[in-house]
Amino acid sequence: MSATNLSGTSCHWNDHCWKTVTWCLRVVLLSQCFGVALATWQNGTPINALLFNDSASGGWNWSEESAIWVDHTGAAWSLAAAVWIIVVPAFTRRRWPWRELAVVLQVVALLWIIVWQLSITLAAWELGGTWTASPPFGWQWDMNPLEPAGVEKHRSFYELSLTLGEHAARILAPLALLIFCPIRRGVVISRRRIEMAVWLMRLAASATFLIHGWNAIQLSPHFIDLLIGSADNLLDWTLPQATAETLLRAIGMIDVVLAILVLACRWRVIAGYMAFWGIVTACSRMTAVAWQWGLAESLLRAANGGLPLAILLYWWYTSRGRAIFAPSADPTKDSE
Amino acid sequence: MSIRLLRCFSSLTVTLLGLVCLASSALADAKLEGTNPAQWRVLWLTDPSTAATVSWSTAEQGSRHVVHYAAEGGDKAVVSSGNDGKYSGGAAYYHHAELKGLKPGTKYTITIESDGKKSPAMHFFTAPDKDELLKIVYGGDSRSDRGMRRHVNKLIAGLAKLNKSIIAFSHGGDYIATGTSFGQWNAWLSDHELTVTDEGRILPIIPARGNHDVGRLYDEVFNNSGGVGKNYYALNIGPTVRFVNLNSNISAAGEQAKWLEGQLAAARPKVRWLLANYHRPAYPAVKRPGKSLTYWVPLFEKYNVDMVCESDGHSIKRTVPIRAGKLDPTGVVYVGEGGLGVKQRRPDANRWYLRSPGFVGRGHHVQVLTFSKNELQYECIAIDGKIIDKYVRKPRK
Repeated sequence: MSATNLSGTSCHWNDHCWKTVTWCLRVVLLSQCFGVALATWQNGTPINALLFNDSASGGWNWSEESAIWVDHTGAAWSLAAAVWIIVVPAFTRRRWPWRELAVVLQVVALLWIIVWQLSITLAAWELGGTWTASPPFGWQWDMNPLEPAGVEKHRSFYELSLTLGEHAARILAPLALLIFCPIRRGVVISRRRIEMAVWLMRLAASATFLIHGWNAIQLSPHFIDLLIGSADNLLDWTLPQATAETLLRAIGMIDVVLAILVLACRWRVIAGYMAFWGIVTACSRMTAVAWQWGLAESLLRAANGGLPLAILLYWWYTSRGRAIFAPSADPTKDSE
Repeated sequence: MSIRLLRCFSSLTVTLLGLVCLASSALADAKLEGTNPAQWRVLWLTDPSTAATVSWSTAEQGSRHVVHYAAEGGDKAVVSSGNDGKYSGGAAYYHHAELKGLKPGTKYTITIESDGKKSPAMHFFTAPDKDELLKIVYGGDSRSDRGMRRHVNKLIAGLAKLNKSIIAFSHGGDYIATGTSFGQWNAWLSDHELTVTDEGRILPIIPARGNHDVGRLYDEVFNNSGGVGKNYYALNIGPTVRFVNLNSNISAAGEQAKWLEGQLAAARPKVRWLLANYHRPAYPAVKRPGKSLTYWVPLFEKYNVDMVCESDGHSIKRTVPIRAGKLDPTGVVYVGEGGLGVKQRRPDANRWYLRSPGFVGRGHHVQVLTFSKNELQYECIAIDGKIIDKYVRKPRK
């Protein structure tokens, strides 16, 4: 694996950095896809509901068997794709065509995860039926350019923004890995491409924290229960709702500030805190209720902490002389 | 022996009457134009023995909105609407008039008037203040299959017509698919008129909020039941039944759980039958449990709630009595879960709490709860009027 260093000369991207960052993303995707599969098995995803629901509630009116089949098949393929992504590095030193085949299949696997996760997100938006934070600045509910004028609006553009933002880390984590991984053997990955992947991760982490922060400021009842339930189960502390709401507002404001700072600065402490908080909040799905019902919800949020962790690792390697771009002994050799 | 005979008779009556009633025409589909009163309903939100809210819609704002009412054999009275406004995002107006100081167990005739235009005369019964047999109809999820919704509403009207003991209709939420859509509420409100019998008998509705009922319209339709932002409340239906309505859309663990514990602790020593009603199930037949399992079920078990009504799953279920996550004859029975007009799902019959003597099924349905001195009888009635599940619970010692 090679890249162009800061001065523009061709060089290898530090093996440790690349391996650490990409392995972080691989593990995140495996956790996420396992969570999606578990959630599908336990509850069904919004895709199931969208396909099954009758047209009057915005659904496609499929038979329940067909809806479940599509949902389960999609989740199974996602899980298989994530497992493949973990296995792929074992093929990278194999001869032609095994390495090439493995890498092409990895691209297909990553694209599938993106498509499936995006489908779940869009289905969740289309279905509605969940608590939604009020729009800022007096936005109207019917601001949906995707629906024709003169028709009663079904779902708003604002709701779409919220849902996409909330799920941004899980949708864009596989895309970041896709950008990080070369297809052709011995290819030189430009610094621009690496920076693009890192910027993508920063944007995704920022969007996820921004929307979660906005929901927290608006006192999402789900978040209130996560706080009260976790305090009760972990600390044996009966947290009054008023205190939980105060904490939630503070947490929300911190999240919004972090969402801005992760774009504006390269402070490792920001990425570190976001990684920590992303993991803590994902795990709170388990600590607030019985773990077996929260496990899937925690796992499918792996990217909420995983992406900031990948950013942190990248920044850690690129700071204080830990040269990410080592001189290339053989620019055609793939160090993957 | 006499109880068994009574039960047989009751079942037969309900079945036959249900079938007969499907054919009866209900007082419905009033035109929403001008200041014609339409979309009438009666709400029970506080004390059903002495108070009720009469609600209706008009297409135009109008200026004088009143309800004429009279107890059977009593003097006529008039009350003005106290809460009027335009439906959010809609082109119609809501009106709510609160009737207070009513006599318990009494037939009240009402006529709604908006700017001189009157509704047909209708009537409802207040809850009794004596320990006598009474029934309520329960159901949830009427959100998207409009044809079936109208069919089920006619079934409810039929049951009410032929069984005077049925005095109210509890809805477990998800009235419509998109809570912010006035078009969908408008259709639901007009369809709800079908629950009125052809003799003009209205079953007061006891509403609970579902996950699809987001937004302000729910409060506008149900006169801020339980308070804006809360929508949880409890009421006595007669002296022996306490019915606690919860909101599974807001925090389950916070103030609501605290309030619930206070309600259950206060009510349990005083009433024979203690019930709860909310939307997202703790013991679902289809999906995974809602937050109620963590935050409310321990309270239900601590205070020996007799039966819990749940919705959301779009199927039919009755659990075995459950305590501490196990079958226990002293436990709580959970029934549901949504068949008033929504595409039905296949329940998971393999879940331990649904295996025999529990029950699962699929199809549009309503449930009838009969409260008497000796037992609480639960019947699940399919759209064809047949009783497809029945369960009897004895009073706790």
